[in-house]
Amino acid sequence: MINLVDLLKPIEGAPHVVMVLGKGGVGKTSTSILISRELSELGRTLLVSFDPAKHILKYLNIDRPAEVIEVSDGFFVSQLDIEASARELTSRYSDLISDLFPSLSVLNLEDITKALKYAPGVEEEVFLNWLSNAYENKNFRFIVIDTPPTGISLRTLTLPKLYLIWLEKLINIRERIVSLRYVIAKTLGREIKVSDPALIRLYEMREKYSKVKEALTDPSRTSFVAVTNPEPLPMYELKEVLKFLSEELSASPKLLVMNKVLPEDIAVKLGSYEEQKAIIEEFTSLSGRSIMIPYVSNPPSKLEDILRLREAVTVVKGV
Amino acid sequence: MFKVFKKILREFISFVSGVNQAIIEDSVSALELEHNELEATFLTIVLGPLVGVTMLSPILSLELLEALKNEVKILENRAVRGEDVLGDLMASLGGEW
Repeated sequence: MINLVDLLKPIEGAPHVVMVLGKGGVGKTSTSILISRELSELGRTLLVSFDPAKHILKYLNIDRPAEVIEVSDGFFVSQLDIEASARELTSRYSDLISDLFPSLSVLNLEDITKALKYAPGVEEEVFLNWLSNAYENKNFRFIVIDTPPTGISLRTLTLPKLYLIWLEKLINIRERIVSLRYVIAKTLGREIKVSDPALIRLYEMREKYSKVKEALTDPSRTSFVAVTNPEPLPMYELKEVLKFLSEELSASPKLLVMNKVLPEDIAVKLGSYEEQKAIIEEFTSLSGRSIMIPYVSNPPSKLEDILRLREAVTVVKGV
Repeated sequence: MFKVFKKILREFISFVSGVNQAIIEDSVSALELEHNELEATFLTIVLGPLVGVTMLSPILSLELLEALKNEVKILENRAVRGEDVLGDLMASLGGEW
């Protein structure tokens, strides 16, 4: 039986975050469970699923989403609903706006605040906020993330870099404003409070996003695992993910997983042998460690089924 | 003779300090102008995304709102008094209105 943890090394950071990326339906949740279960033998491991289909609840027989539940010794699971969290976030902002702009209700424009939930970037922000807290979480040695759909995940991973560009510009303007206030007040002999809440908030935000950006690009703190199937679209998406990681984060996945590989005879029967062969050849030509998991006729429906998959895993490229 | 000299000297000192005061006031006006312009720019960038002028992520704007509470109130007061000609005149003479 192979040791998945060896394929993910280095995993020193505490907590070490493992992000499992890939197209919907390729087996991200199963792969996440396999990895988490193995990591839990080394230390307390939290598996968080952002999967909108919430498969994990079924696999692990959990009926309490959003709560952290101990499935087995040192192995904890939580299913998060990104849309519900986004609703929660926007309602907090709506309250803030109503408080700051009471005139909106006088002008009967308070409906503006209701449109906030459609503001671009809210779901990504929820994921990013969660990720930022995850890196600070000292309760777990490992945190494995079964990521939301690829679009949201990739956009989220670019956000720290983008936010930092904006924040730097805002900090420059704000610092100039504060220094001008100080100089004017001093010249006119007035008393002035040097601290500025907006500037303090900007510094806090810069620190938060810098830490996430740093952690995301540090292989000892973050491992990326990319999952695909021997089909054209999942393979195309895998290549997009690899390109994104290399261009935006200068990172590469520690492990590539080819899931649901059909046995030769079945592939021939289904007429997909040549296509599968070509895709697997392309997969094996990719750089980095990789494994293959065969297709199982009965899709895994509980934890034991998934753990049994581990016995069938073959290493394409090892350490 | 000494008295005349003292008077001239006093006048000269008053002149120099007057010039100095004028320079200070000029400089302060220039600084105030830059300060007001930058403040307006900052608030436009931060509040823009909330009214559809996206120059920044709306989330960053919302995260900053709380810290800008006082400035938003001043902005609102100014907007309410925007048509107040007398207020404008007083403002041009300096000071908050």
